[in-house]
Amino acid sequence: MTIVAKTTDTSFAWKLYLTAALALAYVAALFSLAPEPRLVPRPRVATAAPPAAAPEVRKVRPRARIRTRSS
Amino acid sequence: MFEFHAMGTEITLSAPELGAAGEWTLARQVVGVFAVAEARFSRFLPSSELSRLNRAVAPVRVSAELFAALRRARRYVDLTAGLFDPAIGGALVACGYDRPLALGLDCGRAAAPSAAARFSELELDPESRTVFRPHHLQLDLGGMIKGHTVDCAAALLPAAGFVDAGGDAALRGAERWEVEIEDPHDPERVVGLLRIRDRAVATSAANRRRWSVGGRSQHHLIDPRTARPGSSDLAQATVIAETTELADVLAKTAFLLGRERAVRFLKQLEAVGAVLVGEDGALTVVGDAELHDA
Repeated sequence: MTIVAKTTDTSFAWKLYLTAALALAYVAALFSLAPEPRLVPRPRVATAAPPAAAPEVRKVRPRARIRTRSS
Repeated sequence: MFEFHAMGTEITLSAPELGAAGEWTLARQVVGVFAVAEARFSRFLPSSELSRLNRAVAPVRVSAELFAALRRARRYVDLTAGLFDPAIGGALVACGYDRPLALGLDCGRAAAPSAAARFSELELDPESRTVFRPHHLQLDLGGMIKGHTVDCAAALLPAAGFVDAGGDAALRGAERWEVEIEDPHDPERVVGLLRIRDRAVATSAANRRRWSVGGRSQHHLIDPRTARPGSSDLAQATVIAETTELADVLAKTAFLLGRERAVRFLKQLEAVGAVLVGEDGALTVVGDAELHDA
């Protein structure tokens, strides 16, 4: 003899599905409203002084000799 | 030929074969080489790596460049039996040399006493590139780094040319460059002429970087044995060597040694020449150097 169990009350299952779907939709909506992650890195705090201004480079008359001295 | 100011002196470079445009491009590169070295090694810039090391209260991991400089310094300390010693930073400050000379160092107060410090007290760990500095030890790599920077800049030269940092110069090429040696007793005159090819030259004397503290004359050539400005029977030492850095180290050492001991010391070194000017004006030519009339 075969016994077939059949649920006749489907209202509870439907309510459960509906609640789960609504919860998922709510969570998805929350994520969609969240700010997008920053793609541009925050500016770094300077840890060293900025380089000094480049010195002026002057063209000078060519000399045949140089002079050594204490400096 | 181009000129600019860096490291408290005028830097001149020449590379005739490049033409004006090429020489200009090279000059801009050399400016960069000096700017990077000054930013890292100056003891006057609070942001420099050397200044940070001089302030550190715990072992510090340093850059490969600073660690390499400290290792070279250690070799020079050994070579000169401690007469070259970068641990004189505190002595320089005690003598009043605590800012660039151009800002003026003269002052009325007496020079402060300085704690004796030796470079050998500095601990270097090559595995981790960590440096442990005893608190009383202040480093000054001034002249040595200026020489090294000249050598780095000279590596950018084409076949022929020179880089000259106020008298410390690297000279490259098949032709000999003429180098006048200034008379330390009269900067308007020269004591002779060197002809140098593919070598470097540097000069140490107490006549230029001078100032007064508490009415007493000071200069920058500190004798590590006394932690005070050194004196000897030499007024000036000019050294020719393979690199500008080595020439600078040896010139300082020779000045502090005095004529007789400097001659003995320099003669034992290979490929090194020198011209020593005594306080009495007498000239002594040593080793691989030939002095000509200017």
